Amino acid sequence: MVIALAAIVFFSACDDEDEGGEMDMPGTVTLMFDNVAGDADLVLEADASTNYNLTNALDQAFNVDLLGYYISEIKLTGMEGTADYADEVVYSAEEPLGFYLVEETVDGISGHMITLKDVPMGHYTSVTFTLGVSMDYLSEGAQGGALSESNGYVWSWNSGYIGYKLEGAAEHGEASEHHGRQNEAASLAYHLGGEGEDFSNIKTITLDLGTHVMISSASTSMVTITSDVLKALTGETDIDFTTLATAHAPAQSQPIGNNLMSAFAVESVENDAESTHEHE
Amino acid sequence: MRKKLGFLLVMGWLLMACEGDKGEIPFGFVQPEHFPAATYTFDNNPISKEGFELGKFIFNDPLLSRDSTVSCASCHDQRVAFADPQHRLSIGIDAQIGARNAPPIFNLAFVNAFFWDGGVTHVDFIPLNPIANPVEMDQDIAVVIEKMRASALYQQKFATAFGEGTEINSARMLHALSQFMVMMVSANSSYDQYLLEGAALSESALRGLALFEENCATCHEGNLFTDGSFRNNGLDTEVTDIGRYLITEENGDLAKFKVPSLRNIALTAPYMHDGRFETLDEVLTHYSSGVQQSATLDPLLQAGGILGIPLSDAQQSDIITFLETLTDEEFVSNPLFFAP
Ligand code: HEC
Ligand code: HEC
Ligand SMILES: [Cu+2]
Repeated sequence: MVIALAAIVFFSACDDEDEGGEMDMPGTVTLMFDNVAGDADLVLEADASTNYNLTNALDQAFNVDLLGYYISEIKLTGMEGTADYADEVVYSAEEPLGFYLVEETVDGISGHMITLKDVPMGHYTSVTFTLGVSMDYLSEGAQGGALSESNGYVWSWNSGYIGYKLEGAAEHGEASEHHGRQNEAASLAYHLGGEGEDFSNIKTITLDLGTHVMISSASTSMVTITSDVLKALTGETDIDFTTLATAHAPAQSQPIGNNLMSAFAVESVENDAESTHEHE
Repeated sequence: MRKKLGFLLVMGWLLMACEGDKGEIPFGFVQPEHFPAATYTFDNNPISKEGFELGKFIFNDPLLSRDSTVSCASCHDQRVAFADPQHRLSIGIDAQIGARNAPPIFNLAFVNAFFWDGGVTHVDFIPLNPIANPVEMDQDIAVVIEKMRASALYQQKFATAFGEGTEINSARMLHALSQFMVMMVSANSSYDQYLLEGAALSESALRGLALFEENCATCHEGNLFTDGSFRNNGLDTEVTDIGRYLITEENGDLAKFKVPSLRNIALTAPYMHDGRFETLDEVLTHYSSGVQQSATLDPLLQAGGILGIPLSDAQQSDIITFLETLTDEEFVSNPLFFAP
């Protein structure tokens, strides 16, 4: 039975190829994450810097010395007969697939170029990803690669990956103790992750691709996605540095988690196949 | 897919294990027949003698701490079932005092809640806490990995354990420690021999067993002697340690702690999360006449409007005699776990 099914799938795959001829090669989509502060590019400061180059919605001056987040379980929604595309997810102590850690400090940014390979030909209208790492993978134990415990995103006192980490200093933010177990040097530290009875800080975010991603044979597309630190601190709740300078526990960081739902946006889509695949 | 492959490998290894010569016992995890099934993810981290040995080496290596003075074994001593015989509250780096008493280590493969508050849910992640904790080892795990990568001895040990050319990374380091720790199975006390082979227990121990089943076994349940729940057993009227609340952030979990196993309990003094009782006598006195009323006190300890579990002196001493039958001499003297 399984063999029969496999055979059918195999044959239909061949059929498709016949229709499109030898031109039907899957393409590549690169998601580029760009950290911003409102309309400007995000300028990070060194750890413990007292230069406060940003202001939140409450007019409180602050800076950022580290911004890091996990992007995982990426999907592209297809239209007009294009099947949805899902990036492969594999957990492993050697090299997990489908988990990407974007991290920026004053020294630069890493992990922000995410390449989705073998994206079948077609039109894609939106991109969906998990901000953070689903709790499902936690029960599988220690992981390698982007999920490596030594990256500093696995909680030691609670269960879970920190999905979004924002650290810096506020001009009038109070240094506070790290949930009674660690001293926190930075006066601003938001470590988001985890779930509660009726909420989750592991967010699924769907963004409309204004211009569709269009993959024709072996073409490449580039989607630039902005992540706005100012929006992480406003929106549903204005984060006040004098009352919430640090958040490490799931419930406490919930307001920032909710703000994050609208902190990401598609800035641009570039298709190198645009000329061959016009779309209204 | 990889998971399935791992599972097949484990199955294959089990089959091979069965085919081994009667004379030589193959190395691996053995499921005690009277325990619940192990839940550790063996398919992601198959046990090998070499992996186990590496884990044991790491467990005993002070390299894990910032100034190379503290190893896991500093606070977890095999002679007392890997508890801390010295300190009420554990003492870590720079002689700093921790917040809680170090529990013993055994039978980790069968449960999914670790530390007094159950915050960690997988064995692999347990070491992250003591390594990073500023009052225990105070070191970034990334630094631990750097130190190991720079060591020819570790390079060789990781290659032996996980195959030539494997990179030293945190997952493998944690896997090695897990292999060592999940192999710590304590299932051969006098009580187990009574249960499985009908070995004799003293009259007093048998009376103690009956009293235990009636009064204690709802919480200290089954052959692991814990139901895995979090409860307040009446130590204080005021909250002195938030306990499980740290994890759930629910008011109803204030001052609740994991119901601990009572295996090897005669060896693991002092008792309770903060080590406040030095003897089992004191513990029994607590249950009998010292239970304090509080908002989250367990209903079982205030049944019928009576605080605690009233027990006569003779009954208390019978229960203690029974608890002493839970000591597993084979486990605490097993050369397999001796420091390398
Ligand atoms: C400074 C003393 C100290 C050191 C060093 C230390 N521990 Fe512990 N350990 C403790 C204390 C205290 C607890 C209980 C903490 C709590 O529950 O809040 C504990 C708990 C544990 C537990 C949980 C047992 C259970 O059933 O919940 C395990 C396992 C463990 N430690 C293993 C290790 C390993 C592995 C290392 C080395 C990487 C280590 N410990 C280093 C003091 C220490
Ligand atoms: C309502 C549930 C409950 C009942 C009933 C109960 N216990 Fe406990 N027991 C606990 C909890 C919870 C702890 C840990 C409390 C803490 O450290 O804050 C504990 C701790 C202990 C400890 C200390 C263990 C250690 O490693 O430090 C001993 C010994 C003990 N109980 C024995 C008994 C005996 C004997 C009885 C019956 C007379 C009994 N318990 C009844 C819940 C219970
Ligand atoms: Cu934190």
